[in-house]
Amino acid sequence: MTPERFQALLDSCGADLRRWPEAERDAARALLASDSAALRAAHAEAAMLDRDLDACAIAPPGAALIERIASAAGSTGSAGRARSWWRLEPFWPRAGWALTGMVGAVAGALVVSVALGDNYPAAAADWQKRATAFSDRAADWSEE
Amino acid sequence: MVEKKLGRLLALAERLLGRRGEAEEVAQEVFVRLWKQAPHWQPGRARFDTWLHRVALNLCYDRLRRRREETPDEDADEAAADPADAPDALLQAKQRGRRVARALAELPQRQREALVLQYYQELSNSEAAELMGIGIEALESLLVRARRSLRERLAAEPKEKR
Repeated sequence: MTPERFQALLDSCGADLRRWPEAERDAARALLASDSAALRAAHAEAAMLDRDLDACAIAPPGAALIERIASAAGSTGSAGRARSWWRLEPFWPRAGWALTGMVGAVAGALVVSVALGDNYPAAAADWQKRATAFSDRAADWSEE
Repeated sequence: MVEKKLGRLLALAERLLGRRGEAEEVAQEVFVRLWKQAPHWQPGRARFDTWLHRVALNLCYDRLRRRREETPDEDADEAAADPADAPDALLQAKQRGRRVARALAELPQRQREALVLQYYQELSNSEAAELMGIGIEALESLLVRARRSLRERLAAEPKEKR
């Protein structure tokens, strides 16, 4: 990279090399690390303007705007479906916990049924044998 | 989705339009259009963000066009309401931000668009150029002029305000 190209990118993209074209960043970094006082001074000047630009912050969206957008979505056809999905989003983590609980309960029942297998009356043991296919399935799950 | 994208869209619109109220309307309209298009959407995150920016930009262009035909801006500085009891450092930061916002608003429209897309929205030069319908060299030229102009405007401000 020539000093002229470095200066051109500094003038257009600012001092933060992450905003520079990706293909030219390494060369720019190497050039900046060299002993060119003029380039470092130009870089510092560009950084000053960047700090000014960063001072122009925009307030984040308020809850009222988010609610208005949700309401606006509800008033259009397919948007209503999208809104329903958006509304349901908080439901999914809770559904996940509920499903985990159900799986735990089934697994617990299987462990108890296997542990008590030898002490059960014959009829109950027959029933348990019929249930072993389900138990095997449980073993398969544990390997997944 | 709304919470993930809204802040970025709102910032884009507010920096281009200079009015919070209009920026919120634009952001809202972008989502309405998004939901209308949702059933036809093809996956692809980069293209999705580009699409969102394009819709927001077009809505901003429409408003800026209409604005030129109407009366001059009356409330561009509506965010300038001053918290009387803010600490000095906070007050200075707010004043500095408003000064930059004012200088940004005074830039020619295409220069402002280039700077907002490339700097604030952190789009690559090629993405910003594509959105603006120009080549990369033309974008870099707009950026150079925008930054030079901003530097001059800010330097021209009285020292005690900086």
